Amino acid sequence: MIEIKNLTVTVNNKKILDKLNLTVGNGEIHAIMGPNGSGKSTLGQVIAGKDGYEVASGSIKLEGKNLLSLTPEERSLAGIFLGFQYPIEIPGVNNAYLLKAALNAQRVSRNEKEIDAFDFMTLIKDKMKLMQIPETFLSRSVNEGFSGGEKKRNEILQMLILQPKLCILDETDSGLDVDALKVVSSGIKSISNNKRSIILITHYERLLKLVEPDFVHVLSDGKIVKSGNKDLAHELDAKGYDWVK
Amino acid sequence: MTLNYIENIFKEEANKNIPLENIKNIKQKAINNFLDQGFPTRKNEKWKYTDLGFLNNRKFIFNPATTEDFTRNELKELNEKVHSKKFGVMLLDGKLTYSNLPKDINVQNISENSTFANNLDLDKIINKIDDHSLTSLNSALSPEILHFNIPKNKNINDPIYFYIASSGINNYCQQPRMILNCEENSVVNLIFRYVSLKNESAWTNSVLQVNQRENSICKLLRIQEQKLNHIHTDSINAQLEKNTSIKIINIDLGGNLVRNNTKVNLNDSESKCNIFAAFLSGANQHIDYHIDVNHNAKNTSSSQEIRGIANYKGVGVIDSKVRVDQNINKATANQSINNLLLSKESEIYTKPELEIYSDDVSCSHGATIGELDDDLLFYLQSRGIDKKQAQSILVNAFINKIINMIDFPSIREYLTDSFSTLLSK
Repeated sequence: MIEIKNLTVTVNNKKILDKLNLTVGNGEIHAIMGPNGSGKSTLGQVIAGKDGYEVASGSIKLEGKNLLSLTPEERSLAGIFLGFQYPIEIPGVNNAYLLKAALNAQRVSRNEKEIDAFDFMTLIKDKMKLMQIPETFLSRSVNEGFSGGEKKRNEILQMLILQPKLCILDETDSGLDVDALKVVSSGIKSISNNKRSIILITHYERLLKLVEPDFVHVLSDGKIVKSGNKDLAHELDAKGYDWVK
Repeated sequence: MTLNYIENIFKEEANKNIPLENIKNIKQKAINNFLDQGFPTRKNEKWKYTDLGFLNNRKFIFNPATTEDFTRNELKELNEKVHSKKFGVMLLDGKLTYSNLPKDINVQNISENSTFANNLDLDKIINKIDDHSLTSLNSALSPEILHFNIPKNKNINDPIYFYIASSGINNYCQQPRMILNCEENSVVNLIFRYVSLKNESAWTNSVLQVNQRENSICKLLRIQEQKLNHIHTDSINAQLEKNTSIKIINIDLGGNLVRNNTKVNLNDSESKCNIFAAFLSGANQHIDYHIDVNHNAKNTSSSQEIRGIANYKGVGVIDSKVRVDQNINKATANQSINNLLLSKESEIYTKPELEIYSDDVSCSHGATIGELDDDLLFYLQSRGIDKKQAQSILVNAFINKIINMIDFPSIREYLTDSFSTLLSK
């Protein structure tokens, strides 16, 4: 699905990612863990195409296609989805509008007709139910005045609607109580299949108990310093990061 | 256009077209006032960002010889539009050409109706508002002074549409003049649409006066969409008596050089005004809002929410002043001005001002100038929305705060589309 080779990324001449290599196969779930400031969020944002990062060397390929030459919207349309660590509030733009605009951007890029209001509602109804999001939320501004949990559930809802090929979830579990974590993980599990790949960026094992990863990587100082299976997450939870750095 | 030129035009007009002696006197005062001051220039603090000195070098016609051909397509279309409204009024080149008003509302041309004019304190009604030279020019040379009377206890729910059109005669200066008298307990909803029918370079210098008697409510929406080589100067002057309220919404999308003066005097207790405004100043446009709210009585309140956008080489100005006089207690005033720069070359000047001479008041003001937030853009782009559309979504969100204040869904939709279209150009 995605192949990252020798990726070095700097911000204001400071190296954030250092010759990073990561390959995620179709249908695989990878967890990326690591101490604060290790470069986890940068990795997610560089894959999604955020400005402000200098890619000094290396490549990112999605199904063989060079992602680095694409704009963020082109990457999204190619199948990348980034669930934000801090979902952004957009006053004045309501949720239904954003969801529809995003969905239609995808449909137009596939030469399909834009979705009408009725089909749209049919499409999102079950997904909203799964994410325990009430209908009134559709007319509210995107993330404005949402609780931390609501913001994260909203990110997952967007993901369910856009059906991406690669889901990168940046600390989607942080700030969630036990119940919200269950809702979020059931959303992730509902979309997981043998074609779709998922990268979970997280600090905690608790999400990984609900959504079991195939691989766990430890990112430290911009490099993957250790990889293993889900047992590694358990070990990290118990022992911290010092022993792997 | 030297002041001499304008003085001569006035003399000609006074001899030929102003039959009533008292009107002639009023107009004479007005022209004197204009000639004393000349066109406003930067030297005047209130015109710091908008210098009209260049008008001295342009020559405008004030009373064209040609008459309008109503079979012309643009005019025909506009006529149909006005006729399709339940209540509609049309002014073409400053003259009333059509009116379909609710029952009991009448319109009089003060300049021609001597009985009517004699019963009015013309000096107070007309010259008193000449606080800058352009209103004086309008008082002196407007072809018709139209007086609309909303009678006591009259409550009109349906809006009255005023189409104020410049026919587009080259170098013509149209000077619409309207006086709206809202009597006790009346409620009225007005929509003013300024349009120009042709691309020819022309000038609209309009004055609208609103006089509100006790317990009256006035809602006023002004939409200016004149052609991009049009000069548009206009003044709204509202005088509020006890327990009255006015809501003014100004939207400016057109015009090359635009100056809107909105002045509200809260003259008695429990009077209040809410002013909303939004403009988009695009390539080579210059749009200037000058607002004055005067709290002249206790227990008065005012609020302002203004949003300006400048794109390409567009210039925007928002200069707004709230004044609370001495011994005016329990006045509340809020000013919020937010601006958005969409290009490196665009410029915004903004000046919120509170001038307070009383202690027991509650006033606040704030102003911002910013760019579109990159993080917001990235968020939308990361959902597959292309950058241009993402920008348009965010600008619409910015402007919706004002658009949403409009009571009529079809106009809200129309304006949202208009802003989007202009932004995608």
